[in-house]
Amino acid sequence: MKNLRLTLFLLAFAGLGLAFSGCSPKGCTDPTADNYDPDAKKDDGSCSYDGGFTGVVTITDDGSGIGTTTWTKDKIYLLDGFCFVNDGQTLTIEPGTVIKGKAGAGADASALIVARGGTLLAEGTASEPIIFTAATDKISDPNDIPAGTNGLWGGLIVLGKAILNSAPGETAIEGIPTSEPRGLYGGSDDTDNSGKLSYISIRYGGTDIGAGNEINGLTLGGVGSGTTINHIEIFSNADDGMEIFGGAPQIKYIVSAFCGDDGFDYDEGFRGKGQFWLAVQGAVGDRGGEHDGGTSPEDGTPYAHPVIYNATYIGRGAAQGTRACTFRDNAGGEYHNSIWVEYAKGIDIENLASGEDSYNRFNAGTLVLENNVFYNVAGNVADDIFKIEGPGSDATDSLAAVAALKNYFSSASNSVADPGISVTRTGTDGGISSFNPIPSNTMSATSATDTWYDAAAYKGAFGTTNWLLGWTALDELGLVE
Amino acid sequence: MKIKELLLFTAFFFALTSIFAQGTIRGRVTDGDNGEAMIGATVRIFQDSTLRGGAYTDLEGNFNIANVAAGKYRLVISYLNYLTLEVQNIEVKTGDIYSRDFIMNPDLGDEGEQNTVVLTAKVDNSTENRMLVVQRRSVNVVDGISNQQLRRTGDSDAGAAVRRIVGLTVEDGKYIYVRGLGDRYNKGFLNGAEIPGLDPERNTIQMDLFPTSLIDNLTVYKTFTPDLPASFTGGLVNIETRDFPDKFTVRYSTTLGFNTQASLRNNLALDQGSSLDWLGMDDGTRAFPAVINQGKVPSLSFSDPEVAATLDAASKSLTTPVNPVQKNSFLNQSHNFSIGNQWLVGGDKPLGFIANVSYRLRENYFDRGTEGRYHAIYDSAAHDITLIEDRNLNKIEGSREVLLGGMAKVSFKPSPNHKLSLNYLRNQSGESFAKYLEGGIPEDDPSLTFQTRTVGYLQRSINVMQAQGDHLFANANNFKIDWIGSYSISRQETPDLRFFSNDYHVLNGDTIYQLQPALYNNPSRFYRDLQENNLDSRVNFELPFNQWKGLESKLKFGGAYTMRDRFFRERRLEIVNVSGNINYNGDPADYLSQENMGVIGTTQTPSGTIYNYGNVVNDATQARNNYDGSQKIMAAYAMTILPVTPKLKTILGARYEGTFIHVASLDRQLAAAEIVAHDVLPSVNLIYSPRENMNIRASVTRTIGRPFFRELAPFASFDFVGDYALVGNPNLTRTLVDNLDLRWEMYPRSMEIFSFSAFYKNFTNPIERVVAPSAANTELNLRNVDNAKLYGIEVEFKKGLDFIHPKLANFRVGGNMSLIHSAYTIDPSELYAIRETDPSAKDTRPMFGQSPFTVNAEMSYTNDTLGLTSSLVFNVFGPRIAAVGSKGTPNIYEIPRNSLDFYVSKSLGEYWSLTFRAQNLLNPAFKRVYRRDGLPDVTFSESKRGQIFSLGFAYKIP
Repeated sequence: MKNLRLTLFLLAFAGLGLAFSGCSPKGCTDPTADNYDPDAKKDDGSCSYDGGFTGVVTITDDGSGIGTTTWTKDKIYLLDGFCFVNDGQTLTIEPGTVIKGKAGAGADASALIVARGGTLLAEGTASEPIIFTAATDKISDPNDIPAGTNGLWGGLIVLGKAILNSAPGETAIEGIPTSEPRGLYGGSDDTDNSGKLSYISIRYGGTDIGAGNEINGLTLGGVGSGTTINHIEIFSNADDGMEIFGGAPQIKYIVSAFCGDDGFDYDEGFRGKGQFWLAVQGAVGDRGGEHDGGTSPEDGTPYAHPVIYNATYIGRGAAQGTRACTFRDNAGGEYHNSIWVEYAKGIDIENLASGEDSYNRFNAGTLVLENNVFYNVAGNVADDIFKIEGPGSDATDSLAAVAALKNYFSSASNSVADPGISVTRTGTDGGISSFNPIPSNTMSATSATDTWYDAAAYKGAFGTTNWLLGWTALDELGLVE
Repeated sequence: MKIKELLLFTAFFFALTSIFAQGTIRGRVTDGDNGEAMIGATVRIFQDSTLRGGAYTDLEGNFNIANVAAGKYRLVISYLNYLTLEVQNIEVKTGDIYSRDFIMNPDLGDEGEQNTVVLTAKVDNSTENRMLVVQRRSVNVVDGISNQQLRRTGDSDAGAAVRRIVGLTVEDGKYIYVRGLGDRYNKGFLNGAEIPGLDPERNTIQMDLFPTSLIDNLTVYKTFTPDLPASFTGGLVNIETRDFPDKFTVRYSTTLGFNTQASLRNNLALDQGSSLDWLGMDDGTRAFPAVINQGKVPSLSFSDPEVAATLDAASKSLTTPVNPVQKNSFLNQSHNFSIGNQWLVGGDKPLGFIANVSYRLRENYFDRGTEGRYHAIYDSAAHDITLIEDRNLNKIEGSREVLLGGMAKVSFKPSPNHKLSLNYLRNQSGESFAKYLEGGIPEDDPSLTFQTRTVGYLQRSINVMQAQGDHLFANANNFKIDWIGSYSISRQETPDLRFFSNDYHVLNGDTIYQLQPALYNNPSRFYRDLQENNLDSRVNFELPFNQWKGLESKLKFGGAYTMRDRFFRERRLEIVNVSGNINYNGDPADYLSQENMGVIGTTQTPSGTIYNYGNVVNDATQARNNYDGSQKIMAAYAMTILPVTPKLKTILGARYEGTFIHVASLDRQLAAAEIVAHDVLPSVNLIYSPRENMNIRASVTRTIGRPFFRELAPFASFDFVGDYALVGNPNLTRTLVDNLDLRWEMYPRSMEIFSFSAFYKNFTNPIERVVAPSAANTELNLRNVDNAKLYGIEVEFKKGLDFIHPKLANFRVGGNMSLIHSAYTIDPSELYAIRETDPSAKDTRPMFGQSPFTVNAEMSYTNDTLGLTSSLVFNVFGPRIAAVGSKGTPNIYEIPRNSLDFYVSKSLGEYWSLTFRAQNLLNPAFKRVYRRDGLPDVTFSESKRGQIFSLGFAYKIP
């Protein structure tokens, strides 16, 4: 024993000697670092990554979750596979922290998943947002990923215990087999709290996780109203920007930009609140909003009935044939003081023979579209903007529904008018080189009475200040005029 | 040319060896009392009353009297307490061999008097009759088809032939269901040893791999006795390959068939093909791209030049077409050549061989198929569910399938009581196929038309090597040993399975094509490889003894060891559009053209060169989708066959089976499946024979159903073709089944049977496919449900029509029918999800794939004088569940279709014969529907396959 210690001591001494002698130059020995020195034999801790981070921490999950921990802004956190914040664990992310997801599809997809009972405290600031992006994205270089790229990694998934309208009230999130119990969401607590999310930019996600199944930028499954969600950007995701499955989350200041499917999607009985929602769709994408009620069963209750004020949905342009919004499968919901521009088709409301449809919700007064403005939607023909899809129970019902909606458009103070939202397109495919979401023609409106909503005497997601500036990829890449 | 010469030479050589011998008389004698070989019977030949020669039958009941001078003889076969057989006027020619099968029946007449049965010299092929004797005297319930019946129905492979057996249905021409039980509950044997199935989703062997020219007989065991493996509950199908013939034999046949839908087209939809497709194998055209090699494709980097170069090369390497290629089709064809002979080594030791080569090519096509997908919602006005259309697609599908098979078997009898055989069998098959579907996807977007293509090749091979021996020790009280060792290597590959989907809509007169990965998968390619090695060894000992009253009894015991290893590997490559601005004009080839693949340009930015990509390959290989499995089964048994009285026989015994199964995914984070079980499986059988030609059988047995590798492999396979994701379950356990069987059977005359059976099976923890209620997309899980019950009845008859009028003596009719009921209780959580949509849904459902009835009917005409054989064969099965409905959507049933085949064969002189066959005469629709009581059927899929008319000739010596 004594001899061993002596040997170690001598070796250490010899090592020091060598180090000081200069025969073995010090430097950064990690080839993945920015300042990798191929001549360096000994690491001196000087490695710098992606423009100044001091290390890259790879996050994996063997089933025990990430644990209760804090991710700090001096490092990059690299997600390798599905990484869960398990029940009872709290993950705190400092402002300015960068989280990257490894490439991979299916079961190899990388995503951060907050399981039921887990807590995510991720509060960035306007000057120091928290960025989720792809492993290949260099934060220090705004030009390294060409426009239109998506699906490079998974996304951010938050699962909670709020109420769903699907049977049996508990569902496995898309793409995760039911054999993984941490992928289940739904319960009975609509006020459930999954933590705080603000000033978060989620970029280039949406990898494939199964047949026709991509991860949404932000997925909220059974999230309750106790969760704080504001200032979220989803940029260039392969699937929907945000998809909400049931629950009652309340979301302010969110932008879904250039996503491969719908801007905003909800399902399974979403009953939360929303204000200042921006969807902007370019060369790819489908509807501005896809709003489903129940999936199984379709008449499941509680019915979806979110109340959204001040949304602005910018479509791909009339030439691309996409819809502004679809309501179906008994989905209700309310849009007030909102703006839709540049869609080939307007808002359709399903009317089925069975009566289990969103027209039903319209008649029940829980599908409300009031004080909204449409421009370059459905050829600016007011009668074509609210449309009935489906045959109805018979011809009388069908005709009555069509007439009711036509009448509703004006009676609910909706109008066709140009808000003056500037969009510069690059070519024929709808691609956008820049846009300005602030209307040049002020569209006044009456604020919501519910005090959760901020006072906003205008239509659309923007008054006079551009809340995108400073923290979004849209701003960083110069897409906002 | 060379092959032809070689064949001629071979034929000549074998013919020559026969010519040098003088005339020979050979035959096989079967014991009419138990269907087994008649061992040690005395065979003598006389001219007038002068003895000219003789022999004893060996352990297989065979005898051989060589060096018989040309002339006419009287043949006499005798055995104590059996009726003596006598045949007059057998004509032996120099160099010729007279051969014939005989059945000897016990003499129940007065003691001391030898009664004789005189047969005519004319040879009647009594194999079918022997089959019936086997059936009548077997200790368990068996049904079978002889090669004679195979010749009469004209069925070309085992898959078509087994449909004729009572209680059997065949799915897709390949997979057998016995008494409504599929897969797990059946076993496929070749010459008494297990052979593996090739489809990873299945457990049983594809029956269509075996052309009937190879088959001597097919036997289906429906009740378990301890000498059989306990892992069958429906049936065990044993394919016995032909043994060497009594004399030099050559058979050749060629058949050409015209399929009314597939033949002589110029637009048969296939994949692009390869130069070796005609031999049933790919030449490497479809191999995994060498440039990607075995390594993982790097993930996208826009700045790394090395990654860019690798991705560019990998993306550009995927060049095989993704669109169906239109090919010319010709006619279906099949060619068969077999040769066999036997010699006497050392004067009296028979050495024989039989070899067979067969080739088959089949083309299939339809262009008016449909596929519909619906989901159910509750209609509160109608107080019932209503179906909402998700997809409605038209379908075109074509395939060309080649099967090349060969078999060689050599047997040697060093003494009359010992026989050794070596058997080698190889099958190689390849199928090129393409599917194209187009139609609406209203649930996603009613304004879109969806188009999808699947193109690929399925290659299967199986090699089986078997060694077997039969030994009889006459001086040890006729103690018998038989053993078999069988090793098989099988492989199924799906190289380069390609999928490409897009949609289009018309806007202002322009058709706009696009790919929407949010709605359906990106273009992708799968490469699958399944290999399985299977070792099966069995040994049986049989000791005859006399019970207390002196009645012949037997003690049987033995053991078996089987080992099976499987490796399943899958690579997936996905084509991802990175740039978002590929102009797509509707032609997949343009979309995937070289200039759109990989790096399509570079941009100089302040921080360096940025690579711009078009479509790039993304490695979507999933470690979890690869798995290794191993299974070991050890077995030992003992049983007695003991008559209590001459009319009541008991078969009592038990079998021990030790099960050791291990299946692990390559994703080590996933739990491996581990099954270790030790089971003792009793079997009690009683056979009461009130009359010589009548049996009443009763049995109580316990059997096992084991989960198979795919079901235990802990991965989810998302499949386009089947739309559902199937998720394996490593926690499955084996199923125990208690079986109760009753059967009354009567054999009025030679070749005739009437039987009536009833059966009841109680399953403890059966494995069923259930819909996971909490899954976001429809996901099928495998689960041990609590209990299932199945019961039913079967009737069968075969009858000559001479009872109506003697002139109808050449006509025979036969038929069988099964009525089966099965049910299991739906898992409570699944039922809850179903009733949320459909409150009236039943809480039970039939077992997967189980038909409530099956009917087979056959009418045949045989005229030996004219050399004419003809038959009309009918088959129908009752509606069976093809897929379980999800969350209130009705179950999907495969609905009955009437299948009618006609066959006629005429011999032209001694060597030649002509055949004509008409298959699928009624051309029924292959149809699956959503079906629930009180609702009209809604089509899930429908297509017709066309009639096939074939003309063939055959040549044979002798």
